[in-house]
Amino acid sequence: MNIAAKLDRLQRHSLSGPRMDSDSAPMRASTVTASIDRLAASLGASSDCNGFVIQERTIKLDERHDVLPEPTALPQLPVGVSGDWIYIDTETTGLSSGVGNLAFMVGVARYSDSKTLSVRQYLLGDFGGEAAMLRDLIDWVGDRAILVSYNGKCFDLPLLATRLRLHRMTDRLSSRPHLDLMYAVRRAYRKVWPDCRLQTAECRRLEVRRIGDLPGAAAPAAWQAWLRSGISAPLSGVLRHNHQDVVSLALLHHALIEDYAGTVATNADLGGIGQAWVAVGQHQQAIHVWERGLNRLDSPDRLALAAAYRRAGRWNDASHLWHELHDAGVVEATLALSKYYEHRVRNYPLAMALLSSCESSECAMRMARLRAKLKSDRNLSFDLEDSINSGECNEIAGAVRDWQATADHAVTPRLQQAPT
Amino acid sequence: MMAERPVTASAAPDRVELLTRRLQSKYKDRICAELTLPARPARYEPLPLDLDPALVQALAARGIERLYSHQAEAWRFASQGRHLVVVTPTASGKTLCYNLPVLQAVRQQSGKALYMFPTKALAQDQVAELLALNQAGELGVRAFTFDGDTPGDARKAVRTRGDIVVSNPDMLHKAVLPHHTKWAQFFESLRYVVIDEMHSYRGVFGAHVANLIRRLRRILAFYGARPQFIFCSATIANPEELAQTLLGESVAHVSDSGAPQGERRLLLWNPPVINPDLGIRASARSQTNRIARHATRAGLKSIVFARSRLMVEVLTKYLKDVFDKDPRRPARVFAYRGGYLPTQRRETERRLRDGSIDCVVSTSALELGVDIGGLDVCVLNGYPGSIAATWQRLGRAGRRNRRSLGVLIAGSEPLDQYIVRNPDFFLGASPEHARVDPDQLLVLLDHVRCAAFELPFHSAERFGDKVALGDLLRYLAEQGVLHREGEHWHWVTDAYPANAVSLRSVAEGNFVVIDQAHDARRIIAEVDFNSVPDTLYVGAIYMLQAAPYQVESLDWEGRKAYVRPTRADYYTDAIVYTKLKILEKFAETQAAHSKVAHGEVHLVRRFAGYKKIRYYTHENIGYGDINLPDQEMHTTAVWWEIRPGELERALPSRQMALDGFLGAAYAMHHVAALNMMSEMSDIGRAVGDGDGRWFATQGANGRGQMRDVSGEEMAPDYQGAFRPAVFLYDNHPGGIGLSEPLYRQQAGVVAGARGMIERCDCRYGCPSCVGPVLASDEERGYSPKALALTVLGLLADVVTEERVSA
Repeated sequence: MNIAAKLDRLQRHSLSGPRMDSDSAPMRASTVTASIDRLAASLGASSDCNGFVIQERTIKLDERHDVLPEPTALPQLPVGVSGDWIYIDTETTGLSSGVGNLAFMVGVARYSDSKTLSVRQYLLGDFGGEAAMLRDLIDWVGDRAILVSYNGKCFDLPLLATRLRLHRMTDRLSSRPHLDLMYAVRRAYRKVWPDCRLQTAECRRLEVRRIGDLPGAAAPAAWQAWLRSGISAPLSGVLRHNHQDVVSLALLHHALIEDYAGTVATNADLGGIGQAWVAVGQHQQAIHVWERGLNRLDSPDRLALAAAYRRAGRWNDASHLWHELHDAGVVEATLALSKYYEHRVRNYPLAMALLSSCESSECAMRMARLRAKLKSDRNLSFDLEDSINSGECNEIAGAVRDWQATADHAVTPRLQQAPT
Repeated sequence: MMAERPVTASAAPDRVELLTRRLQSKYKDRICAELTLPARPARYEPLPLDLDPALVQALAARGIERLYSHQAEAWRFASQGRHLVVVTPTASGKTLCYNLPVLQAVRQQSGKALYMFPTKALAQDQVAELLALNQAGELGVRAFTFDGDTPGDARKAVRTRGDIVVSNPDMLHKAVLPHHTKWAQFFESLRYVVIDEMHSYRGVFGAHVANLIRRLRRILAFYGARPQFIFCSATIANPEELAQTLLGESVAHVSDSGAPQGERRLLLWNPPVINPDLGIRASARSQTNRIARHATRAGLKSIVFARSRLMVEVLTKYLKDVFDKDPRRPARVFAYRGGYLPTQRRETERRLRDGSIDCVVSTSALELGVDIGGLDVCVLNGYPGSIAATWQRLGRAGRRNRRSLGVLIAGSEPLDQYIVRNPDFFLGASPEHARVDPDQLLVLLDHVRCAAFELPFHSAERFGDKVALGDLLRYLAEQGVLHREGEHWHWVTDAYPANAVSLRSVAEGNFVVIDQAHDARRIIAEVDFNSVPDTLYVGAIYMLQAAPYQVESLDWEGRKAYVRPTRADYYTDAIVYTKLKILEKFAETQAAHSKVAHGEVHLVRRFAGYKKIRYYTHENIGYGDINLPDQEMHTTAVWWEIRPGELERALPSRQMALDGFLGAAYAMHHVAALNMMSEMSDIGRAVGDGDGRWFATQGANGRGQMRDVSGEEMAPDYQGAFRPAVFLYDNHPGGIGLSEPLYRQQAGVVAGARGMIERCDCRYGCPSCVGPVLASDEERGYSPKALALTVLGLLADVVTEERVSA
């Protein structure tokens, strides 16, 4: 019996229902031989006899971009990285992971000078051209590249690595430094935008509007249509889409550098940006960003700023912020402040008074510890403790405020203590 | 690893002996046969001279200074670079047969090894054992499990740093092969692939695993690796053949165990007859319960195997009613079966190992090599359905060289009765053949899809050697899954094919059972898709550790069943109707009065309702409806028909014909399972007509009923043409190759069924020959037994054969 007929029937009657994936509806293989030259001609690009098409364009950037980005201008790259910026984005046959997906289109771009971007796009005419395309791509990218992508760490680069491995080629891409702008965008805009897709960033930060753009998810179907039936029109849409993606990467790179420097007024989440700097140990940079947008910072960000001040040894600034937050009822600030008075200023009564004003369990714990410390310290007056116990907290809190208002407490001489 | 533990005399053997004697004297007439397997001394060989010194030290640290003869034999084959299969009893030190060559390769050649176990639990046991050996000899070998529980950030470490990776077929299928480039380094230096519990890879699962191995070897060839395969198996008749089918290459064979074994007693037990007229015997359940009570009271550790999850729960309840009455004391009786959460199962296993459980009641779930320590008594509630499974289960008692007792209690089913009445058949028979058909078309197609995703196919490639790969590739290309370019076939769609293919069953997705008592919803069990219609219909009593829950609602799409604890004094049993439609006839045999054919059929199972059965009295106290979608299946079958004229001449009443066909089908089904050496559930039976217009079922009054397509009852005498047939079908989607050999054995099936019914002691028919017969049947005026014999008589004389098509 004919295997195809048998399979058709088995599939129809099998318990598990239809096995075909919904997106792979039967389609007859076309007899049209897709010619690479015809593809190149129809796209207005140059063809390569190795089975892929190359399209090259030069883009003049905005006058504002008169210097090349510094690698250290964003916290996502480690210190000491240098090289040539290479923007990279791929279009693939599938959106899942796994060996069976390949990039049928790769867009890359580099600066020819600080204001000019040269964009190069590869498009496969058939599967057979992949090895040659990858070889050309790797040569073009070169050994000094700093890769810049959008979600390339999880998607584009592992996929290219897999394909290189399949063609038994050395992977010279994965070992290069890699700046994935998606992480930088997430830090800065997660709380601000509904999502952090590249298109969202373009539209909200770069004010780029795409007209008649083919959605990225439609790319696999476009290449399948070309393979099966020699239809190239949808591919020119994918080519435009990919081109815009690559150019947007460069524009977004510059924009994010501004956001992370805190120099331009944008609606970026300064708290998140500061945290990103803190995460790589750049406290000075974090303080710089936070101070510029102080009035926009919420309590957790202000606490973080205070912590950064503390780390930088700027106790005055730190305690001012803490006091402000303490007055607003932020428990963490009360705690931080009490630690400050206990360990730094060594004003135990004040520390105690602060703790007694809040009800968190950590406060209670610290208070018990402090009380034990006070008891073991005979020269300290117990009046204070008694008054706390008798519920005169408010008065004490008032006393704290007065004391603080009159004295330069950061340099207040320590309370007298008995030698231990 | 109990390899070197000396045979120790302990107090237990005496108690086992005492119990055996007590049973023998008290129940003499119930014991049909006895078998004593004498203790076997150990046979040793010195450690191989070329064994790595660190390994010698590691073994010494664990008290091993020489090897059992089979371990040494395995070492020799492995050293010669051969693939091999090891088949020795449980606890014979099988794991050393592969661990030694593997560790040697890791130590001396920086080789890697992949271990595959059918379940996660077995894989974890194995890693624990490797780590112990590793520590004992400071071997510096890194062994990791790689399964669904391995966290994402640890996976990279496993891939790049693991010397031995222990995984399961599902993981290899879904997570490793489709990402093989990430494993390149591992695959490039892979020296061994170890496949333990090979006997579990039969039937559909086996077909999937054989194809998985084809895919693995295809990927390995890409990386230039050609590892040796070591298979391990419990006793089956054809380990070599199975290993060769799975691997597609010849393998060396190690089966002569050199491990010592304590004396084993086996009693074949038939429950006493309580109604001679109806041939009704006391239930196997009551006898099992009795023997388990005796054993527990005698201070012995016992394991009881039941054939269904329901029976596990019923037996556990009865035993708990005796031994665990006091809730303040730790429980002594536990149930163990699939469907319990992994943590519950691990806990029960742990308690078994440390000896704090006196009696465990289990399904086949404990038949596999989970380490449960030494037990004294094994009670089988009913014949497990295959000889291999029977010995495998009996082997659970007496692991540590102690004397042990096994009792096989026959149920009323024909197979059980056949075995206790013909003990020589059982005691002398070889275990079953594990059948696997790696070229089952649907399974093959699934794996060709997955393989094409992993590496493009070349037209000159082969994937198995029966089905032409080119046909499948063209088919997939027409479906738009592959794209042909010259001689290469490339994956072209946006999909991850391994996700659409489940190795374990045909339908996807386990159901979770959710207890919604006290508003706190918690998952208490999991049930595999195929068991759901039988066990989780609304109204069903679902038993868990003998506690009854009632199913309140079933979310078919969401794969959830909501239950609530209940105090019902009954359990439930589903009523299932099956109808078949013949799609294509492959071959037909003509006879004077009848004809037999073999071909493809379309099968629908309908769940008509359920019965409520009261505990202890087992009376039927009511019915309920089941509202579930019909289950459809396309498979192969053999069917027997009687020529219309002949049927009317022999059996003038259609009602009588229906009863005769149902009785004959019942007996034929059992004989077929026995002759085919397969399990009952691998074959299904049905009576109906070949056009699927009607089918027959046994009604509540014990008589055959004719039902139409929608399950409505029909009056047999008012229908048109009446051409009943007995269908025996391959109970797996697409068929796993059971019906063709069955067709070849057609005469044996009919003759065997006749013999079984003729030799039965009952008068009118009983569960041991034609199926349950009600007391009122005496008033029927005719005997179902005689009717079945009439039908079988007409089916018996086959003369000529005529092939319809190939």
